[in-house]
Amino acid sequence: MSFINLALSLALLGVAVAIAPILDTVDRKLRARLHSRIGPPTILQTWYDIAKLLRKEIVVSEGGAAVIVPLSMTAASALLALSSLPPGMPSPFAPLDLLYLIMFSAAAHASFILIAVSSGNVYAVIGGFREFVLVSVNEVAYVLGLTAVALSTGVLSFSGAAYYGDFRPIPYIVSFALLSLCLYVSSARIPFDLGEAEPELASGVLIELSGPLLAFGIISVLLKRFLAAAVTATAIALPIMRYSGVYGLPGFGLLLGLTIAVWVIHALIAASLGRSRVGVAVKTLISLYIPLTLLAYTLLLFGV
Amino acid sequence: MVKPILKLITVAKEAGVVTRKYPYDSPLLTEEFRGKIEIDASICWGCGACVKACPSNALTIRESMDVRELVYFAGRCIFCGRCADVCPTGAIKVTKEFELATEELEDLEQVVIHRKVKCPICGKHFVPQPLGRYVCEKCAKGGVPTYMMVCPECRRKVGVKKMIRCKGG
Amino acid sequence: MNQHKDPLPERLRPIESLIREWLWIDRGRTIMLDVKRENLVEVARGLYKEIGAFFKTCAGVDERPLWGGYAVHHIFGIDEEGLDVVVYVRIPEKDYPWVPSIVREVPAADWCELEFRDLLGIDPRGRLTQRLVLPDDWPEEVKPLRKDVPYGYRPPRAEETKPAEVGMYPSGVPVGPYHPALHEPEYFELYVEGEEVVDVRYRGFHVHRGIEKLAESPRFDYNKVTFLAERICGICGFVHSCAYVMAVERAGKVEVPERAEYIRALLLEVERLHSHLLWLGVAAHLLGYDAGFMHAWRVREKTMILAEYLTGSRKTYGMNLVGGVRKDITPEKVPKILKVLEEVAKGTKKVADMIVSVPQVRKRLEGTGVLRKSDAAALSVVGPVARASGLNRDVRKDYPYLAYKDVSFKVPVYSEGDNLSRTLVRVEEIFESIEIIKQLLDRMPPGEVLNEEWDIEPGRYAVTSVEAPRGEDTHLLITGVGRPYRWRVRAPTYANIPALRPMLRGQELADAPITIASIDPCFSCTDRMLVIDVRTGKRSVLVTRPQVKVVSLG
Repeated sequence: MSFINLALSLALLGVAVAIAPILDTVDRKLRARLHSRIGPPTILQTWYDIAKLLRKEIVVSEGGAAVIVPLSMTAASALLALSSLPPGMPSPFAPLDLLYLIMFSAAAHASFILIAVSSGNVYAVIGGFREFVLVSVNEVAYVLGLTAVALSTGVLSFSGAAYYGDFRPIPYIVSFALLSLCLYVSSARIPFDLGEAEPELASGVLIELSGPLLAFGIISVLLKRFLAAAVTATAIALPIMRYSGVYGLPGFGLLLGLTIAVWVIHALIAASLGRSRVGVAVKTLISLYIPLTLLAYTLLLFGV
Repeated sequence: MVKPILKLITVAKEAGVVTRKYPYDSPLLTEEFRGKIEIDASICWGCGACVKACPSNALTIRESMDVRELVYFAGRCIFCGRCADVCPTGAIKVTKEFELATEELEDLEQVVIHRKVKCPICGKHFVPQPLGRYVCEKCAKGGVPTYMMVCPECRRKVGVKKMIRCKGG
Repeated sequence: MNQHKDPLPERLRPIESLIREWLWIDRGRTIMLDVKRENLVEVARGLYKEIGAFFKTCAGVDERPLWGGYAVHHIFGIDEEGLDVVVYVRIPEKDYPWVPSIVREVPAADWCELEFRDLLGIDPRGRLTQRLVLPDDWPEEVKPLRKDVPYGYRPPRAEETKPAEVGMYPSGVPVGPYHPALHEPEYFELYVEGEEVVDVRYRGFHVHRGIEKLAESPRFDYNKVTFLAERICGICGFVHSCAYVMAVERAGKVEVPERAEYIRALLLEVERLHSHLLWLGVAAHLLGYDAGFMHAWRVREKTMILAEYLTGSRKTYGMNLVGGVRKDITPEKVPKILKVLEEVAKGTKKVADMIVSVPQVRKRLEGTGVLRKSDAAALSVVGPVARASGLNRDVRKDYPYLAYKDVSFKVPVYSEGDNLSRTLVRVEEIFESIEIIKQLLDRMPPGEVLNEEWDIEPGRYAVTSVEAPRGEDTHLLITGVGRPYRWRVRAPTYANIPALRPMLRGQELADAPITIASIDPCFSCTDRMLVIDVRTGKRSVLVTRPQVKVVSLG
């Protein structure tokens, strides 16, 4: 691990924290345009909102002090998961980066559910329960999808694949489809924002958070979204980096640009759909995941 | 999944942006809009027809010894404009003003003060001066308003005395 | 009473022997049956089960100043004949008045019986009773609608408040009194197993404003009450104001210029347009489809501006007076109206199509919140809720009023009874309303719009029904001196909320908000009855924290 690896990884984390709220404003602005509204006046609106929340007093609900630990764990895990991506240089976790990615993503989702359970609110508990059902289906497919992408690059590490991967296009495309679907689901956007579901559960998981705690809650959610977009972007960037040799700072720029593009596509999809029901969502997802997984692994097995 | 996205984009594109940056931009009002009322104190008689018609008690009358005050409190007003309908002099105008938020309650109040006519016999104050003048003018055509500015009670007394004098004399 | 003796209609023959006397009132629109107290249950059964009448509402009246006792008026409607049937029961007791309950025969009478028990102390015998509209700390001996209780009465502040009772199931999910899906303070407690709702408890009437009592108070007169009636509801206020003035005009035999009747009908349809578009947006929002919400409201905004252009106000139009309307629709306004209607029709078509084509929206509307026809009929539900469950009921057709007899329109009826059919009924009604407005503009007769020369005798009686966007809105009015003697309002939501129980049972929790919204509930309409001391802050068993913290995860 060289100094420059670490520096770029840290830069990615810094950029993630700084621009996730800005991307959220872009999200809001795009949604507003699709709603025929003007939307937020400046690109920094979500930052202003967070800053305002941070200035409010801390109110901890009865028995809700336990919320603070999983709240910080969610943000930390999302950041650690981000640092296992190769931002133009191999990640500090290489060559075990995929393992770390899986582990820390799962930790981020699990601690998000813990926020709900530890707050003790009936709506939060229902939200957490929904999130749990969704995550347990999604994480399995996520692991399978991530592995399938890695297998189709011939190297079981994203950092490695960017340098000496041997891409098999058809299995790569199929497993990318599976992975990107899982990542969209994990970004907790409509139709899969079941844990929050404002009109049904009054913000569900986040209901007991207010003031600075809510600010951290929002940052955690946005970091989870950034992670989902960044992993999708990495999967797209890998063959580009491998065959055009864009590394270092340009590679970093490529990853960032793709992340923003993926985020915007995610936002566009979310703006055009309605919220699903937990039973229906799980059924739909399973009916998509199973054939995609089978197809990806069959292709890999038969060496297409 | 693609179909709803395309449909939404078409609808949004056709509609354009419809919101505006109110309050930096002008509000969407038609020429028929009814806002708060304004009372022209120079025309008002203080007759109280508007007070009687007001459904929400936004217009009230405060009587004191020598003054009658017509009080309009916009905080209770439902902006129906019934007062303007019934006002015999057209002193009440409905404006288009509706941005009434304020930190001072007094800003929502308009008071029209009418001095009352003083009875030359008993010295009691009764009807508002403009109303008294109006009645005088109206009646002046028929004959001389001898006891016009005398309060109703004194007028009755004077009338009775006069009658007794006529009969007895 | 304004009466003339005519024979009993054929439909009512089966119960002729049970009727002491009958009066035709309001030019044959209403028949009042004077029934002995012991025959009431039989008459109700006959009307509801054999004759096939729908139940509208009941009202208790303190008639002690008139003849020395109380009375209960049960209002039925025979849709096919366009006839309102008032079953009038005299209660001679002054101290502990009672009537037999008709709830077993007429389930729809559940709430209004509890209401006259609360407000007038007339005891409906033979049923379970509990407080419905009065808050728990209201003194037992004060019956606010009795004539000897002053309208400004405020009860002493309650010092002790008892905690809310916990329901019978272990897993309660409180929905309300403050909840993002309900835009007004109401309280539903949903009992769930996993995500499935197994039972529902409803606690409403948190926002009584004492409007009925206020209208009887000396500071009101016939014209002022019009503006009060308009404030019963923020969405369909004009409906209430129309129902009220029509009741006064019919009871007091006030001539209304024909042009005014056209203008009223036109504005009622403009109001329906905005209300249905509002609902469509809210429904989309509840299903997580905010784009549909915003675009439905964008189209709705045009109707709001149209309303302001025609009346001077976006809502609470302030147009009605007894005897007509205050503002004419001049010919130069017509082209602009037609242009707006065109835009609204086009916009609605696109937006409704867009909303219904979103897969999640469609999936969650279809087959959810089913209300079967038999349940709908037993509860006498009204409006789009009834029409989506296969009951062809529409006051505009069944009891023609204002100018509706002169226009032709379709009444959309669906038989599925689910949330999707209720949505489609409303969407179709938007287009029907646009057609109605066009026809009204086309046929509007010239002339005056307001008759101010009227004098109303006390002791006259009228029942009026107006089709609000949410269904039939019924007003009963007995004239008094200078102001109503008794004015009873039955808003459509009042008739539809009891139907939520069969609709929600067996549902997924996720679909509860859209199902509750699918009756287009208007709680401020429903709660219009009481004088409440806002300052004490204690209105009823408001549950401020979730009562039950553990949810069985099934």
